Amino acid sequence: MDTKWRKSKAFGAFLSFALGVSLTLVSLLPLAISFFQSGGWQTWQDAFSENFMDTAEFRQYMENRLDTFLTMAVGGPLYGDYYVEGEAIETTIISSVALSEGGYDVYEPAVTPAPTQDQKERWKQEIETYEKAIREDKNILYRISYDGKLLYSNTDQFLHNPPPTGYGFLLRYENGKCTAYRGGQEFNLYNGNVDTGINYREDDPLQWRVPGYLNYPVDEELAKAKVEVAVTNTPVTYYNANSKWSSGQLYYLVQNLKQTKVHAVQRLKTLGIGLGLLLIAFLLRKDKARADQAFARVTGHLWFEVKLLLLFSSLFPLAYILSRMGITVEMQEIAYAYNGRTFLFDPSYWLLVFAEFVSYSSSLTCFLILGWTVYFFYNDLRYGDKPWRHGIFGMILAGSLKQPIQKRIGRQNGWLALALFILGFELIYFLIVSTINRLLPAWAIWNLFLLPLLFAIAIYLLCLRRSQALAQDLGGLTDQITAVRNGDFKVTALPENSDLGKISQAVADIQQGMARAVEEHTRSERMKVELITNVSHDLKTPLTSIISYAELLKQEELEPPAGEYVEILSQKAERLRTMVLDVFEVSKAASGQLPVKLEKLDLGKLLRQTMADMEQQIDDASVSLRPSLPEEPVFITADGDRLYRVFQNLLQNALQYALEGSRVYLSLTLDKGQAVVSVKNTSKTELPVDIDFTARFVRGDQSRTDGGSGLGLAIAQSFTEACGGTLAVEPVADLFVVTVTFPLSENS
Amino acid sequence: MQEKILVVDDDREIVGAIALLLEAEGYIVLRAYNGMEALDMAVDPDIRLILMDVMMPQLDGLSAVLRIRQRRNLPIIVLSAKSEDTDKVLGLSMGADDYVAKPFHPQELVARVKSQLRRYTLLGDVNAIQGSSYVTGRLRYDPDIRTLYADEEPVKLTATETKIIDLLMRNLGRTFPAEEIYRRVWEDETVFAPENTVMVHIRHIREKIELDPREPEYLKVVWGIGYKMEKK
Repeated sequence: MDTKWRKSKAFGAFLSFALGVSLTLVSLLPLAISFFQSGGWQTWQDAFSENFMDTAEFRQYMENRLDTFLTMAVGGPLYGDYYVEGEAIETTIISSVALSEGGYDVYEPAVTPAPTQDQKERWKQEIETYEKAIREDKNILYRISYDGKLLYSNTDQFLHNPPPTGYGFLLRYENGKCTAYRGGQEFNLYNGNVDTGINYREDDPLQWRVPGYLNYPVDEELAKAKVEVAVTNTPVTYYNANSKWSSGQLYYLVQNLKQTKVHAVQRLKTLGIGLGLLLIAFLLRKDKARADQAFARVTGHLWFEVKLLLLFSSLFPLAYILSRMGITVEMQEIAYAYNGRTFLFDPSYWLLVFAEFVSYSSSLTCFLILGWTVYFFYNDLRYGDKPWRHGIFGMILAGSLKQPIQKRIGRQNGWLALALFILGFELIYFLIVSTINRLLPAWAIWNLFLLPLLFAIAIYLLCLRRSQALAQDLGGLTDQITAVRNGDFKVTALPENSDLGKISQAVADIQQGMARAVEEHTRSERMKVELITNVSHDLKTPLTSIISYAELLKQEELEPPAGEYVEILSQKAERLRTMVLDVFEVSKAASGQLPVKLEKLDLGKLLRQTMADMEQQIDDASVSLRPSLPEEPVFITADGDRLYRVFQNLLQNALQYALEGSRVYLSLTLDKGQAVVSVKNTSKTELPVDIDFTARFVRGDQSRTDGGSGLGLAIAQSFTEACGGTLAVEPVADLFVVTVTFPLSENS
Repeated sequence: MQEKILVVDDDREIVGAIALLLEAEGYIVLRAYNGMEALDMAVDPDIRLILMDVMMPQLDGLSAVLRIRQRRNLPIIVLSAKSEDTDKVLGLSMGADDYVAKPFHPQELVARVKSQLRRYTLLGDVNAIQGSSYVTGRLRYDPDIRTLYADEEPVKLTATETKIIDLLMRNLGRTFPAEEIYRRVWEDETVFAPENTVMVHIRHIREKIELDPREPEYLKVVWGIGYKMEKK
């Protein structure tokens, strides 16, 4: 349950991180793009302004309208017919004002050659066609007059303040000056007193670019024109099948503004959600780290080469996009846009470059795929344990590690030789080319390059030979050490005169020393067992007589207290017999010569059988036994007969040395694939500290002469170990605890 | 008729003690103190059993057993101070009928002598009666009359003990968990840990059939698994 919760928490943390990053990027980049594009800020202001008439977009539209209407008033040209028979009609810039002071140019009115009659006709026709197309668009009402004569109009109403109902904006041009009304109120679109003269400045957002400024003078012709325009409050769509011009432009302007706003709001919302998710991921960063590790484990199964391939293949769409859109050209343009500014250090410039790229990738998919591939690659490197090891390269590396050391060094020498060969080849090639081109005189080549080169090659070859010999020696030494470790004491030292001869000799000495020690140990162990066997044999023969005659004496009718004495003799002889047999067994077990017959058995059952077998002793004892054994079988692999002796000894010990009236606890538990039997009893006497109870002839109370041979625990321990288990004695104050541990049998 | 027994050991006191023990049981005891002497004396046709020590001067016990076996068919019990299993196997393979490790319990030695003599004298009859009986070593179980014989002497068993013996003797060498014995003998569902119940009866039977109940030869516990009747 707990792990499940942890898992889902980690999953949630990662999900919010992934979604958060994706959503943030998806929303933030387009926002940034729209923001940093030319007039980005203005676009935002426009999109969020309550009335479209307040927008810069509208202002520009109206400025263009006025331009067109003025052109219509003076009779053209409507489509910028500036080229007259190959000659450009240019306005002349009189002077420029620095950017810092507004950045405007001062124009002289264009000196245009008088248009021909043909041109005039053509212009007039164009104007009329155009006028026909826009006439039905009642979003904008206009009256265009020239020299007091009404030329074009799509309304019967007079257009002066107050404007017709439903039309909230009025723009009038008369006598080279403009007046504007918003909702019946006049406002100054020059942002200053035009009568006293004022210049148009690009950096003044409140100025309308209309005729009337000092630097936007009106010529004689234009002064005669009069234009009145009214704009509706609620533009509607309008369709004219005959027109090749887009109509109902104002309607689309408003719709565009609305759409921009909707998009912006959507993206801001997405950004908010993304940031929120990122915050969650940050709060759950520990869980996210676990998820990262889990991902690293999954990615860890992939070959490192495959991962690299994936990383590079995710770069392909990027490269494709770059090549398609010609990012260099694009950057050039951006650079132009920033001309004169220190764009290299301008973060917004780089953001722009980035944003341009992303916007060109049309959808963010490629970008996101790349991003996440990089992320997982980084994650793999971060949490994976040497991820490059898992793969072809790693396998080659691991494979070479299996090779003997001399081969590995040999191979390294080979690579080194190859590198030097390439270097030498390059050098000779260079010399030949130099000679042919007579860049160097022949003697110089010979003396300065070729001789030293030959010399260097000779040195290298010599060193290579030595190095190879050293590699061989290293291999030999490794083999020698491996042999020592494997217990092979056959000495094969390297020759005295080789580089590693001394070390090898030292290893050989160790080898010999160890061989001697092992041999001595084996011999002394064997001698010990032989000694004990012989001693016990020699003891047994007289003991047989003692026991037999004691028995015979018992059958005689003896004067008291002789009968009593015989009884004592008999008892002691019996104890001596037990001891002799025990000594024999424990010495055999200790020297590893005890034969064991291992089989799978149920330890719980064995303990129950042992208790049943000792029932009489247990009932007679002054202490009570409290067994706690599991009902289900506990299978181990051991020798049943030996193990019975182990627990018999342990229980006998406990029953014998436990405090009268106390309890002996026998328990069998399972712990980490181990079966643990423990026998606990409260000692009758104080237990000595710092004493190895399993040592031979050790007893809790040194002065005690009754009871066993003092070999009970020693036998129990050596038998347990012979069966593959461990026995530990842990006295805690007066509590005597013996623990027997066996590994559980595999298929239990 | 009193039966003659040859006792061979280089330790005179041991020979003396064994002689006294056996004479108390009514046997005539001949004494020898090395293998050669034993060979000379073994020609006496009245000798019914030989007790032979292993480690002796001049001719060791095992060689003597081998030579006597070539000429005579009579029970031989080997005595040895070596208690290792290999010695026991060696002695039995040389033709000895039984093996007693020193230091022995006098009663046990006497019991073994008696057992061997009984079987030896009844050998002809044993072959005749075997028929449908189950035999292992000195034990024979006749399922028809549900009787167990030890050295051809009927053993007095209670009804439950007989049921246990019936099960184990019919399946010589097979190990039965206590639960199964309980189920088949008591014809009852398994109680938890029936070891104690079964063990009590096993102990009682041992006292009736084993020469040394502390070191049982036939009715054995297979520790951690169950109980079985040894197949010999």
